[in-house]
Amino acid sequence: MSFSSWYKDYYPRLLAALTVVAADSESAADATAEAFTRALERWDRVGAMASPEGWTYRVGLNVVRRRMRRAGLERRLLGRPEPTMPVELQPEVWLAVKELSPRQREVIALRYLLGMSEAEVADTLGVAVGTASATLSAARSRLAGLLSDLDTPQHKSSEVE
Amino acid sequence: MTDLTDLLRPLVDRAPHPPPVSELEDRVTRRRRRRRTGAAATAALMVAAVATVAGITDESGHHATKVQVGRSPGTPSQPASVTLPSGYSFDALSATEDGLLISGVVATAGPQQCAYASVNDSPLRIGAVHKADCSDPITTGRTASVVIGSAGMGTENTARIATVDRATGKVSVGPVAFRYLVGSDTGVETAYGGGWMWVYDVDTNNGPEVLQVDTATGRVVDTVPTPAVYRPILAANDSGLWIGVSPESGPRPADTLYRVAPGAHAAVTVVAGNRVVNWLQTDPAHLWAGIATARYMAGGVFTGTLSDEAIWRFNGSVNRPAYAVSLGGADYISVVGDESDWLWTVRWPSSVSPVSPSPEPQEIVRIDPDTGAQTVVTTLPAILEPTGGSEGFAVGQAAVVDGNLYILDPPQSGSPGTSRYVTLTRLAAPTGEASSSLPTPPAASSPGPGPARVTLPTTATAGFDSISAAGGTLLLTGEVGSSGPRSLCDYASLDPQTLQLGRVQTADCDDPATSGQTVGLVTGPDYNSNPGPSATARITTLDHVTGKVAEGPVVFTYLDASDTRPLTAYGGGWMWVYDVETNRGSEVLQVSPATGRVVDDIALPKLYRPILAANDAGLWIGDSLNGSGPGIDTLYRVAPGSRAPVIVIPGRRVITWLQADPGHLWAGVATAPVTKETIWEFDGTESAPAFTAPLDGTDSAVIGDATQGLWTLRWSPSPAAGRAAPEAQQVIRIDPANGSESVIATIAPFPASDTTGLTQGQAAVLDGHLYILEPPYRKGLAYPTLLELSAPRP
Repeated sequence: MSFSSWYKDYYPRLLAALTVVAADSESAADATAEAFTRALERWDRVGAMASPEGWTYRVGLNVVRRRMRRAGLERRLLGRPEPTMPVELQPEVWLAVKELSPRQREVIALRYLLGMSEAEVADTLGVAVGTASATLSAARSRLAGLLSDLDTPQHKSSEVE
Repeated sequence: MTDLTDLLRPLVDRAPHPPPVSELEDRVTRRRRRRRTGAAATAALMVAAVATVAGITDESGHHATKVQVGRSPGTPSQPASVTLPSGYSFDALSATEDGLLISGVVATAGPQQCAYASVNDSPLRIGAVHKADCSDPITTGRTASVVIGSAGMGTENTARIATVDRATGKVSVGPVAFRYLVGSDTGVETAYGGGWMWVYDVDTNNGPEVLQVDTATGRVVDTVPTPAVYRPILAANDSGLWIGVSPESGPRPADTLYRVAPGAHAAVTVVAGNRVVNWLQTDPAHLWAGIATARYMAGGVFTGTLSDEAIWRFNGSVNRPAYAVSLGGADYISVVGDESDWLWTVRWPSSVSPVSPSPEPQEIVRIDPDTGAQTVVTTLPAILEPTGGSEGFAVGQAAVVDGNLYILDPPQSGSPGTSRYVTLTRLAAPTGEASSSLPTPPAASSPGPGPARVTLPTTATAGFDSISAAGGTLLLTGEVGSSGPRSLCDYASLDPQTLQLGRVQTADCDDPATSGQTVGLVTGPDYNSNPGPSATARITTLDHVTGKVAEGPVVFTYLDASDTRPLTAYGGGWMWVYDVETNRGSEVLQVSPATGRVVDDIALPKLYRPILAANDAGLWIGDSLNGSGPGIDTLYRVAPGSRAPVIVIPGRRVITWLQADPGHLWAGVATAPVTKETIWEFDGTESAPAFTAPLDGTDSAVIGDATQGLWTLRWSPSPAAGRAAPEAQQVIRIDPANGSESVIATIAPFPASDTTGLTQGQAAVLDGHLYILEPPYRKGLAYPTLLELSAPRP
C-alpha cells in the first residue's frame, strides 16, 4: 500500500472525525496534518500495521486533546476566538454536536465517520464494549433531543446505525 | 426522518482536498533536519561536561592551531576529511572551550548508550571514543541539566534539575521543578548562555514558562511565564533567553521572537507580528536570527514552505535590530559561527533543483556577521539531503572552531532523512579571493521590527491596569486583591530602553510608591459617623530612605458614595486633594509632597465626578459629562496659595479630558450630549485659551506634553459609523501648539475592547515612544500586554 493512495483515501474521513472530536475545524485540520506527517515519517512501520488508520487516528486524537486542553484556557484568559464551524455541516447539526461531551463526540466520530464497529470503538478508546455501547446510546439520545428530525434510538435505532 | 450518518456525511463528502504529499514531505524533511535526538543532544553536551569535569584531553595531546578569520573574503584551502569510526551513530558536533567534540549513540541493540570523542585538528582525526549512560546528568556538559522522568500517569513527565560538582564529579538531582504534558511538540527545551541554563516548556502544570537556572548550583533563580510557543527555537547569551516561534509552532502566539532577560519577570516581544524564526545563532553579545514568512494551509497548518527569509542581528540587550537584510531566497534551517569566526551555512546552487536525484555540489556560504552579506567560498558534494527545499546545516551537523568549519557528511547514496553521518570534513581558514559572491543583500522587505510588545503577568493575583511615566522610567501598577479593608496593588518599573520589567512588588494601594509618588491619600471607615456612610481621609508619606510609609491624621471626613469620593492630582510640586462632600463642604487641599502637610484648603463649588489636572499654574478642575447640575461652570483653576478658584471656562459645557505639563493645559471641551469635541489650550496662568481647535474623535483620553506632542487613539472607521468593532486603530498625534491632528500609525484593533479609544492610565509617552496597555482588560487579570510604538518627535 502506498502512502500516497492511502493518504488521499483516508484524509477526508480523519479530518471529519477529528472535526467532530475537536468541535473546531481549524484545530482538526492542524491535528490531521500533524497525524499524517508523523505517519509519513514512520511509513515503513505504520504502513505495515494491521490498521494504519487506527494508529493515525490516535496520533490525531492526542494532538486534538492537547489543543483542547490549552484552547479553553486561552479563550478564557486571552480572549481567543471561539472554535470555527465547518462550512460543510448544517449549523443546527453542528450546534447539536457541540453540545455533546468530548467522549460522546469521540464515539460518534469513530462509529459514524470512521465506520468502526462498537467493538472497534471500544478497542480504540480502551474501554469495555458495554461502556462504548452505553456512551454511543447516550450520545444518540442527546442528539435526538437536539435535532427534531433525527431518528431517536427508541423509535428507529436500527436506522440510526 | 434522517439518520446520523447522513447528517454527518457532508463532513466527509465535502472535505477539502488533502494537501499535496510533497507538503508533508517538506514538513518531515524540515523536522528531521531541525531535530536533534535527545540522546544525541545529551551526548554532545556530555562531551563538554566530561572534558571539563574529568579533564579529558584529546588522544594525541595536540592543540589545534588557532587561526583567526579575517574580514576579507577568501577561498578555503583544500578540505580534509576523516571517516567516522564504525559501530556508532555520530550526529552532532559541538564547539567547546577545549576544542571540537563529536557525539552520538552506540549503534547496538539494548539500552541506549552515548558515545563521544574529541577531534584532533592536526592531522584531522577522531580521538578515542568514550561511552557513557545517556541519562547521566553530566551529559549536559555545563554542570547543570534537566532530567526527565515519568510522573506515573502516562501523559505527564517530570522535570528535575541535576547538577554536577566540578571537584568531585558527584551528581545531585533536585526536586521536581515542574510537570508537563507529554507530546511530540511539548518536550522540554534547554539553552545555555550568559552563565545560565534556561529551561522552557510550553505545557507545564503552570502553563508555558521558562526557568532561569544557576548552572553552578542548579537553583532555579527565576520562573517567568511566557506566551505558548510549541516547538520553539531557543538560543541564549548574556542578554538572556531568546525564544523564536518556529514554522512548526502550531497554534502560534501573537508575535515572532521573544526575549527573557536574566532576572526579568516577563517575556519581551523583540519581533512582533506573525513571521517565523527559522534559526537562531548567538555569541555572548549578539544574536542572529533567520526570520521568514511561512505558508500555512487551512487550519494554520505549516506547509513546509518559507519565503522572504532575512537575517536579523541584535546587539546586546537592544530589542531593535541592528540590521535586517534579505538572504536572497534562501531557506536556511541553521547557521553556525559567531562574530569572530563569521557565520556559515550551506545552500543549493541556484541552478539546481533541490529535489534533483543527483544533486550537484552544494555551496558553502559564509555570511558577514556585521552586514549579512553572503559569499560562496567553495562547493562540497551532498551536504544536504536530496529532498525537501530547506537549506542550511541540520542542527548539530556543523560547528566552527578557531576559524575552521567542520561538517558531518551524510552518505552520498543514503536515504533521505538519515541521521547517520559517515565522514567529517574540515574547511581550513580561508585565504585569497572568494570563489563567488552572492548578490549584495537588499534590505529585507520588512526590515522594521514593528511595534514592540511586552507580555505582562496576568494571573489571578497579579496584573497591571495603569502606566505612567516619571523620572525617566515607566511605572506599571494594578490592583490585585485585598487584605482586610485595604486594597493591594502590584507595581513594577519598566526599563524604556530594554522593555525589561523590574521586580513586581506588592503593597497597599494607598502606599504612594505604587503610583510613583512620595505622598498619597488613604481612606478608611469613619467609625464615629452617625448617621450615614462616612469615611476618613488621611495623607500618607513615603520615606525614600527607609521605605516606610507614615500615615497622618484625618484631614477630612466625607460622604462615602460613588460620586463623592476624594480625587487627587499631582503637579507643580503639590498634591491636590478634592472632595465634594467633606465635613466642611466641597473643598480642595493643597498638600506638600515632602512633608505631607496640608498647606492650604480652598472651598469650591460642588463638582461631582470632576476631571482634575495640575501643573505650575495650580489645580485645574473641570465638570464632567457625568458630573454636576445647574450653577456649575465648565472649568476652574485653583492657584497655589490662593483663597478661591478662578472660573476659566464659564457656562454649561463639559470637560472630556484634561492633560497638563508644567506650563500648559489642554482640555477636551464639548457640549452634552457629546458628539464632537474641541481642544482648548491654556498657557501658564492665562484664563483665555491660546487656541481652540476642533477634534475629529471623541471618547478617548489624550496624553503627552508640549515637547512630545499629544497622543490619542481613534477607531477606524469612526464609532459613529455604527460598527461594533474597528477595523483598525489609528495612533493620532495632536500638535500641542495648534491642535492639528495627524495619523502617525495604524495598529491592529484591540481585541474585545469595550472602549473607543484610550482610557485614563492606559498609555504614557516617554522619550519619543508611546506605551499603550493593550486590551482585553479583564477584572482581576488587568491588561495582558504592553505595546511600544516609536513616536517621532515633533
